[in-house]
Amino acid sequence: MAEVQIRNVSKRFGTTTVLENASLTISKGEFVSLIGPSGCGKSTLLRIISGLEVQDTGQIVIGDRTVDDLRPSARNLAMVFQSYALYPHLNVASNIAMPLRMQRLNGFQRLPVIGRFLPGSATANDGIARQVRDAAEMLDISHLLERKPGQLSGGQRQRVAVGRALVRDPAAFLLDEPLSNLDAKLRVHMRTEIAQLHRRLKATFIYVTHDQVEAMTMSDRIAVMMDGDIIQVGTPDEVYDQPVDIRVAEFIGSPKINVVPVDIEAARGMAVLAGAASGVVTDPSAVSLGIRPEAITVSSSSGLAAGIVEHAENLGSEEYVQVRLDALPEIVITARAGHGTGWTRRIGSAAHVSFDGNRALAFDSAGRRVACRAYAPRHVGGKAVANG
Amino acid sequence: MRPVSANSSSGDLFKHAVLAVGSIFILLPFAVMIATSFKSPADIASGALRLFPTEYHGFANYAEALSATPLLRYMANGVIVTASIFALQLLVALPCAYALAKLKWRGRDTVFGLILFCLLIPPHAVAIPVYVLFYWLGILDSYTSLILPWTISVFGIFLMRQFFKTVPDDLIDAARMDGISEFGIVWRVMLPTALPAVTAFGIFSIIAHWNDYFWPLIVLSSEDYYTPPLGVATFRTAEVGYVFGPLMAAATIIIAPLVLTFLLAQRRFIEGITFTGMK
Ligand SMILES: Nc1ncnc2c1ncn2[C@@H]1O[C@H](COP(=O)(O)OP(=O)(O)OP(=O)(O)O)[C@@H](O)[C@H]1O
Ligand SMILES: [Mg+2]
Repeated sequence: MAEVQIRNVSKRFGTTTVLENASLTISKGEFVSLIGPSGCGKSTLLRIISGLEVQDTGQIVIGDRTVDDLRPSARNLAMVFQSYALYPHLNVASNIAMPLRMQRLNGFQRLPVIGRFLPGSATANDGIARQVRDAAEMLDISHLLERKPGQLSGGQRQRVAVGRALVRDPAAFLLDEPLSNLDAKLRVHMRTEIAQLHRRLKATFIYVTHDQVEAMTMSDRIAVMMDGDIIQVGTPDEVYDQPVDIRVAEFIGSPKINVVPVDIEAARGMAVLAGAASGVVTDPSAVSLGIRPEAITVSSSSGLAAGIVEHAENLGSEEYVQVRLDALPEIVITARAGHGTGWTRRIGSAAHVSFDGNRALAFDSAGRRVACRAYAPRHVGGKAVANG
Repeated sequence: MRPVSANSSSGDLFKHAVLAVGSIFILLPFAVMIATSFKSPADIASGALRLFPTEYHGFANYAEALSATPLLRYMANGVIVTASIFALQLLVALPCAYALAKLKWRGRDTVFGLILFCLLIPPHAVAIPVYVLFYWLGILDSYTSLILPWTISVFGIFLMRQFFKTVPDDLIDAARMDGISEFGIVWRVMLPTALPAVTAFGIFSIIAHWNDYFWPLIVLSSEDYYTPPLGVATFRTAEVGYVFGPLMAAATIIIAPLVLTFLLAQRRFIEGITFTGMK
């Protein structure tokens, strides 16, 4: 395993710029997710690291070696593709063995039948077979070794693809949306398995996904990409609680963060939300507040802003309530209510929302995060706010 | 997809009737050929339309076919020539098709356009220049002269390129990550994946060159290199005039390998045709 550095990498296809000066350092043994909306350049960046695509400018450094002049196979990286990309004509054992055979056997030793009798190939083949068995055991696919990929389920193919990556003991694993072709249940299961695999191997993982739950649950750090730029790198908590940009705030978190436009009162710097003082003091450049659903309280009696319950979803462990504000009819606020609060029976009735001023995030007109803090907790109607 | 309708069974009946009439039309000459190969000269000369011989003369006809000319020698020539042509065609077409389908290079589309254009050139049109060229090279009347003009199959390049287009890019990238070279990818990844298309192409190629009469007739002068169609033709020029019985027996013998090959490869052949969207 090794550290992977991406230094000022740019890439354009024709006239479209896909990556613009992207830089990121992934430390040895770290699990980093690249996350962002479709088309933002995640796969392109991964393919540049692997050497399958060549960057226009910038360097890729693996360990302490600049690898820009190395072929993909010489970079000693392993890649797991979204479509698994198994050799359809080879059985599982041969699929997993392929990278090792290419590394350890020469062209003559790889020939069918006679290759096996050439000097040195017996020992090498034994070693390869043993490693294939070990990998298969680790991934629980020992019973499938003789099958062709066409005879496997999606989850099993996924494991074979991971196995093929595993055997070569790479400097880093590159995974491009490896779970997106699986059904929801299997995806959750494989998520856990990949996270456990990472802990066991202590290897460097670079994991591309557009599923923020995968990124949040598996990663040591998350790199959020937008339009070819890495706009924030941080631990899952940092990215969730301290997004640097409104696009990050909106991309991370499910349900999505609530964004409401605000006016700033000149005297105190108080953000005014739908005509009511919000209890949050912000930088004068702020134009909107972002508040996560769990920081919002919904009540039938009193609150900061009144509205109508438009929809409610009962997830069992909690309920999500959507309230359309009377004063800002284009805004629907999503709030998290506790278990058994019964909002699903009150759709169409009046409700009031308020929020925890300590958890509000303020953004300026360019979407950048600006300073904000809770002003005077006692002014916030109907809501006891913890003092920050 | 076939629409499910109330009269679909009568529609099926109609389709099958049309196909049956068509297949009778196509198969009848073959039936006549096989029937004639079992008939005596008198039977053939009588001119009556009869499928079964009145007098069994099959053994004599086939013995005559095999002994009057070195038919087996001609068939061995046919095997050598068609097999070499097909092998060389693959050797050229697979890497070309791979480069055209999966590699990015400047001018690729132009080159592909030129290749499509070459599909339009009939081989007979260039026969004389090639003949003159071979004359200058001194390779007329040899296996080389039979094989060399056909080693680059534009149709093969086109067919394989269309098939390779359907192979996912990820598979090729995975092979590159595993350390397989570009030529290695052609032979160890693309070829096995494309077997149905290779089989389809093989059948087209083998039938065309096994049955080719025109080109061998032009370049060959010694009987040593005769291919089966030329060999069959020697019956006609025999001094007794037309000896239909042995002629038909010889024709049956030389198409037998083709029919057997097709029957063996039939499933893959049809897979290959449907895969490439040519059907
Ligand atoms: N070979 C190529 N030629 C031209 N444009 C390309 C090529 N590969 C990618 N692109 C473009 O580059 C942009 C980024 O593509 P990329 O595959 O990296 O996106 P992504 O973030 O992986 O998206 P997704 O989540 O959908 O996989 C897209 O707009 C895409 O159209
Ligand atoms: Mg992608």
